[in-house]
Amino acid sequence: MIDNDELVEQWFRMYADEMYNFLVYYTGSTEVEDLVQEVFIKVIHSIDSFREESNPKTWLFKIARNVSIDEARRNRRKLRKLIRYERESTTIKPKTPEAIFELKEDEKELVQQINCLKDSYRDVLLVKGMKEFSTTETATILNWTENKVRVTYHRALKALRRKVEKIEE
Amino acid sequence: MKNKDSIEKMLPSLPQTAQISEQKKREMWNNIQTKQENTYTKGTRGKRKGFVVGLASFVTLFLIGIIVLSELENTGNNNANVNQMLDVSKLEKDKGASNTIYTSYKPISLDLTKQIIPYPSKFPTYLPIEATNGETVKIRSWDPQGKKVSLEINYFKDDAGITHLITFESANFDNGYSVPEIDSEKLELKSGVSANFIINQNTRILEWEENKQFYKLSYTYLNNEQTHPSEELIEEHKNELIKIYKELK
Repeated sequence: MIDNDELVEQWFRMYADEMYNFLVYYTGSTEVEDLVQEVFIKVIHSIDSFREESNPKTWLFKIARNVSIDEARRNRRKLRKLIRYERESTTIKPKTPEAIFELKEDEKELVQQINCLKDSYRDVLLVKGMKEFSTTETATILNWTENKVRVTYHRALKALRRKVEKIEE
Repeated sequence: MKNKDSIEKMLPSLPQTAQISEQKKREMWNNIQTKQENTYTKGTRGKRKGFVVGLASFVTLFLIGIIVLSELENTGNNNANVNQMLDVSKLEKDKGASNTIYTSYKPISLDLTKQIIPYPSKFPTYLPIEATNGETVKIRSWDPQGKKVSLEINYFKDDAGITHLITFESANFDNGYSVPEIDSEKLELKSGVSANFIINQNTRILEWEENKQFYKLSYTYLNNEQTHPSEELIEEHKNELIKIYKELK
């Protein structure tokens, strides 16, 4: 029987690239390799709580989202400190998704507008819309109810359309 | 990409083709193993110390457990037996639910639910909103025998652009993923029952385990202004969820 380490290594081989792509869009940065690592460290620690009948991919993406939210919080704290002590300094901005995916103009516009939406809209558009997780899987990843996924997804699409239309006018 | 449909179609077609090189992957996997071993070594020191405390707690809990079990035997269960299976004879499968993990059934009444579920779940008797939808229960069976069962009731209210949604869930097995949640706070609901209180942008969640049953109450609040919830609103929802918990019967 396959042991836990082998199982996680297998998942790493299967999903590392997919998770990398998701995190690039989710964080808006291309420097997400450390985050992918952190996700799998957390996976190793929590593997005993993984229910075998569940879909590992859903579970992995739920952890990935939690890890990137934690990271965003740490970054906000770092940024606040930086602003306090080095108001005059210039910061090096990380590369954005456009840089590695060579997005077309309309795709670039879409990604930019998704990132301008509020967090819950961006979450559901990327998880359900872009990654095409089912409503049930999305609910698991985002820790929402299925009804909330449906309502928020519908509203997020409407909000995104409004933003895109405004730009195009 | 002008309309909603074409935007929806564009989302999955956004390029997701970046690949981590094989060499980088090997480095990353080595890092993962090294880092997780370091974390484990640090953790074991604390674990030794915790062992003595843990043992004492275990003995205490064991004794409490024996007392509680004997009390339960005396009082009996109110509406179901834990070892029984879900009675599906009056249920209709929900064919719209395309999920292979569980079998979902079309919503049924609360009275029928109490008769057919294989565990003595409690149900809400108090709600902070006047729900505009009927009280129906969605049941799911998580194994072919119908021994592992969960249920869900949604209560809606739409009020001048504000949507209130309260969801009650219970299960006779741990159907959550025991992944540490962000923004989670431990609350003592009553002696021996502690809960996690989780704050998401639009939803406040209270989840706990009681008598080997797992419960989750969530309060979703959506408004058109897309503003972040205030501390007061979060506190209000937390108090309401605790009140619903206290009135579960």
